[in-house]
Amino acid sequence: MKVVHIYSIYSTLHNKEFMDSNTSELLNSLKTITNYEYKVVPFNELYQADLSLILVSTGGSEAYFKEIESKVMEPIILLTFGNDNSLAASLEILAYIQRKNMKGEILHGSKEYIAKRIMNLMEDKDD
Amino acid sequence: MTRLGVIGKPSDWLISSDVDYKKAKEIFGIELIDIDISELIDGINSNTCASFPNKFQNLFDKAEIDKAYLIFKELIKIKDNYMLDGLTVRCFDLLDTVHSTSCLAFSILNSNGITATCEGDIPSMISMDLIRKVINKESFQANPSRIYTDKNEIVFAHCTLPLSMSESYKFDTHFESGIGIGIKGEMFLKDVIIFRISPTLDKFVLLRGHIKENLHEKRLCRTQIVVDIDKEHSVEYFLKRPLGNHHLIVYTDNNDANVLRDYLINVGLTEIK
Repeated sequence: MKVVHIYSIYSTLHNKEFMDSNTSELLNSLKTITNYEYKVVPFNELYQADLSLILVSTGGSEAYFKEIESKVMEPIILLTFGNDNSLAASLEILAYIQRKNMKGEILHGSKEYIAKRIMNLMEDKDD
Repeated sequence: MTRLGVIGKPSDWLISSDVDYKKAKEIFGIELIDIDISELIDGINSNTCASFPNKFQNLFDKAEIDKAYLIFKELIKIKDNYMLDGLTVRCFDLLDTVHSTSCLAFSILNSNGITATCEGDIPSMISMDLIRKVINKESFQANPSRIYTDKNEIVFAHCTLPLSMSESYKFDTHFESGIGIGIKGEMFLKDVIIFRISPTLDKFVLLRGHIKENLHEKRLCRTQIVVDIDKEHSVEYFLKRPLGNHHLIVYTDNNDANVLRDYLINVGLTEIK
């Protein structure tokens, strides 16, 4: 089974319990649709997988992204839900990445759309 | 020459919003003036006597309304002292120091023809100023908050809707902090332009759409709208090549988009589709 590792960044202003339940729900749905295994991991394990995603859980995560920026690998795939300004944070991060001529995109929308993009990205890696 | 004040630096999370001041002057004739945030905070804290006009007094806690008015008054004072046409404020610095928010102040300033954006966002302030100068409209600085790729729809939300752009409004707390005053507005279900320039001042995005619905969700900033994006554009812009976070929403019922586009192309900017 293909493995997707996810590293979560968030602002301490927000409710972590609520975020964790949202994350679990999303990852369970993605697993059902794609038949891949999804694991939230510490940063040092992020790239020990077939595909690596950065989960932007809340607004205010952008400054934290800058702290890990030198260690992230392209393409930088930002996964986000749509609550707590997580999409807004992802837009700012992606704009920042692209100004530095790095590749990246945001995975956001319906679970079906996200699952389809993850399968496409996995296929691209296999090619 | 337009003079726009930057009160405090851009918020730490606006990592892609720094602007070349010299370029802003050369391209748009905009002079950006840095003002220390302490000038605003000290001014607010040294002034205790203020009261908003009566029409607001029954809408929310009186002490909060009065604090919001102190912020408004101090911003007007800074605007006058520095002869500014508009301003942006690193407003989250007010949470711990003044224990209030500047959302209502921005909303009223924008309703009265004075450009005001939050979080020290300079590209948003310049975008808002251009909207005012080129097509003479007010605009709503908002966060893209959710995207429906299958329907080409996007949810925008923020707490600073200009009162003049609302069909109706009430006050609530500011979303992220749970303190101060945020504007919970209902917008008109009208055609809109979605616009912003890049922090590099060489690109812009200009989408057309229609406000389909107002939302009332708990985990979004207070004024929330669903915009149905016209078929000629795609919401994929936001997922694949956004120019930053905040975008400006402008009501339109005429040729505004073309006028704004022509102006920007004429001064050398490239449109992102």
